[in-house]
Amino acid sequence: MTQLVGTAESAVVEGADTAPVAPPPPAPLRGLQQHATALRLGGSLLAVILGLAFASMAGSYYVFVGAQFFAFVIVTLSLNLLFGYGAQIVIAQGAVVGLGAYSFAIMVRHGVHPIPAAVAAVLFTMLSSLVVALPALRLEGLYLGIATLAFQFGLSGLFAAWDAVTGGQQGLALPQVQGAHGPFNNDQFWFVVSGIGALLVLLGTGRFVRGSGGRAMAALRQSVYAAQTLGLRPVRWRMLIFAISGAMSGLAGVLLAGQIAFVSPASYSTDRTLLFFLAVIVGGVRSVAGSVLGALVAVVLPQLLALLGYTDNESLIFAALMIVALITLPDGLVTLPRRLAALPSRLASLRGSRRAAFADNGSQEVGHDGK
Amino acid sequence: MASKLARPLFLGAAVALVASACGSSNNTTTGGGASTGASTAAAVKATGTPISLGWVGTMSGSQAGVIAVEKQELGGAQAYFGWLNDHGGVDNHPVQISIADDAGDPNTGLAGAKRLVEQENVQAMMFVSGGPIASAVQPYLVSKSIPLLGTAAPLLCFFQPVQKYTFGELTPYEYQGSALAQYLVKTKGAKTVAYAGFNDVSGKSFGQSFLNTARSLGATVTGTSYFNRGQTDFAAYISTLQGQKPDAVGFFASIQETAAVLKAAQTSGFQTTWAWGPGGTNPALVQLAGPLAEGTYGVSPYLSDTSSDQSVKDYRAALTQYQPSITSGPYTQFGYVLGRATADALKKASGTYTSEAVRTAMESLSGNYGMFPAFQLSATNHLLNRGIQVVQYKGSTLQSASQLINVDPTSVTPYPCAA
Repeated sequence: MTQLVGTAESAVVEGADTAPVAPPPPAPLRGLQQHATALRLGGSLLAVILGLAFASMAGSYYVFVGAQFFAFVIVTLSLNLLFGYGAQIVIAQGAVVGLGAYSFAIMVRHGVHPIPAAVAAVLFTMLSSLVVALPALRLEGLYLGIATLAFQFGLSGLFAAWDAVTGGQQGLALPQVQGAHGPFNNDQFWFVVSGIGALLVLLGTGRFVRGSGGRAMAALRQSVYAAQTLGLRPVRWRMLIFAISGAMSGLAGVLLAGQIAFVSPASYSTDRTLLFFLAVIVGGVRSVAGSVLGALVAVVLPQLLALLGYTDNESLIFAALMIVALITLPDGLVTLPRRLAALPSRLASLRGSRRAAFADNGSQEVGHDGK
Repeated sequence: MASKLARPLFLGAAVALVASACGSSNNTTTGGGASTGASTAAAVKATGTPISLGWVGTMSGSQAGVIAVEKQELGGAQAYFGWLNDHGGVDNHPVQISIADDAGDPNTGLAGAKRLVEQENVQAMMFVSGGPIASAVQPYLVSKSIPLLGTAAPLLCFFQPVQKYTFGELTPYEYQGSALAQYLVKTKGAKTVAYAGFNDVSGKSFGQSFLNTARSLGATVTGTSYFNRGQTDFAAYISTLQGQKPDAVGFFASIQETAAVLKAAQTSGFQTTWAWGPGGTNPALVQLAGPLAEGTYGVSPYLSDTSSDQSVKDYRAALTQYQPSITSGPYTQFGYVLGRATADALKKASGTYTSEAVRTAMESLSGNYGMFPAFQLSATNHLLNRGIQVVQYKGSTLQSASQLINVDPTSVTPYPCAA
């Protein structure tokens, strides 16, 4: 079955629903492709070494922002999996992340060791995501979005109102577990854990979307009926990506809760959900690298603006930059290198067409004069 | 399908962000140092090295009411420092407020606090937004021995027992609620009261105290209701009140919800004695509710800003000169008093502006600023203001309806902080 799908979907490339068959890469790149696994492993190892060096040398502020960035990478990847690859409009990611955070916090407060608590929180969020997936079995597009938005509102209300369990609007503080951080301080510990989590999720998501899962998603995006004729079961695939995305969001929730040792409804509100969406779309829909760029924009850019002294109107500048990014790069920041590479040929083509138009105009004017 | 929907979804989110960014506040530099009122210092501009203080506030996001209030608080502090920097600063050092926008999110607030402490080297945090943001930020400040000079969520639990690095300039909600109930029952003779407020720690702590005091004074509570921030439809609530017919209603919300409940009451022809919490006690309410605000009551931790007391005159002059675009109200008074107390603590630290020196100086601060009762901070008392005044809307201003009173601390039960 998978083989069949793979054949049918060989024409679909990442980032485009209707793209033609991708041209073969240049010879040097073909050589690199043959060693892709080794390159990924090497790159991952390098990232871990650089991350550890950063965590040991950078100040607590930078390490904290880095940890937040890693958690956001996981959230944007989870949303991209649903929204980009799965074409499921889900406007509840903030609440789903909150489920992971709250369930982790509640268990730790009840004396469960953080590691089993984190595993249980991820599993619980994964199962809960299947509840969010139920409307997806009957609804599509914006109708599904609205149904999931109701889920967001409901969970936000629950976080805020269930005082006895969630601490209500005041939230819940997480107790510090003595000796749990090993050789690291609190910020370094969560940076390392979040970084490893983000790296594993990145590699796993990349593998999934490049493999049969990605091809099945692409087939279902283009035509559910055509995909069914290939033997794909849309319900099964939808539930699967909801479950995977839910587990990823649960992990992000655990990390976000651990990083500040606190959970409250404000961190998992509709505002947050919109920010996650923004990150995915600005970074690049249906792109793993785009998810990383989106997280960078959502977490690091506001801090960068603040460091540069734009504290008066940081959010206004941020919003303006986002609008400019979408207008100039509608397919996301991830397409920037491709667009820059194509710029000389586009400019040349533009100049050529202008010359042609000018020549054409000149001849028309002559014609108008009738002389 | 997703790609077709991506652009409109993004544009919607971007427009929402731009709209929320309109709440952005000005970040200005002001000075500090004089321990006397504004009317007594000579006009000599401070030219020394600036002293940096941190401010973590909600400047953007979807909570318009919170943004408006915190803008007023910041404006009040900037007004005082503006005046002070033009009058010698702190031993010739101008005082600078470094701002971090928490966007209403504890994670962002903590990142901002870390930036201020570690990158901008602030020695004290003047202000951190209340509720969950303060809960997330405070452990970090304590770990760095950075004193927090003004808590935005004035809850008794922050001061009983005293926390070494936390100070407060605002009368706790528990005292405010109690004072309002006392006024309605004892002075206005209300025999039945109802209460409605935000479904959060501020609305609940104020409400619990309001209701307990009313009951203890013999009044009957006809009903209690909590609602979310931003609610504008109060028709059903007014309908319920019409059935209960309370003599007075305590209502804790921002001016947006306060104006909305007044309009709903007018539509239904419902009349009662309305009494607002601090969020509704703001002259800006008149801009939203017009004449409907006339005659309603509210609580203010400070003397009414229309008072002829010299301290209030100094405050009004500083606000007019240095923050003319900010509407005066209890929250601007809070910022102004916070600025003044901070400046006095810095001066007391006499040239050693380390976090510990500022904390120690703050802990031994005493005085009478005029706008609220005289105070004496100590190792066992970090709360500057326990006073309250009931005010009434007359014309477009707030006029004193009661004396400035000190609430008996033993008469109220503290509301619990974050679990």
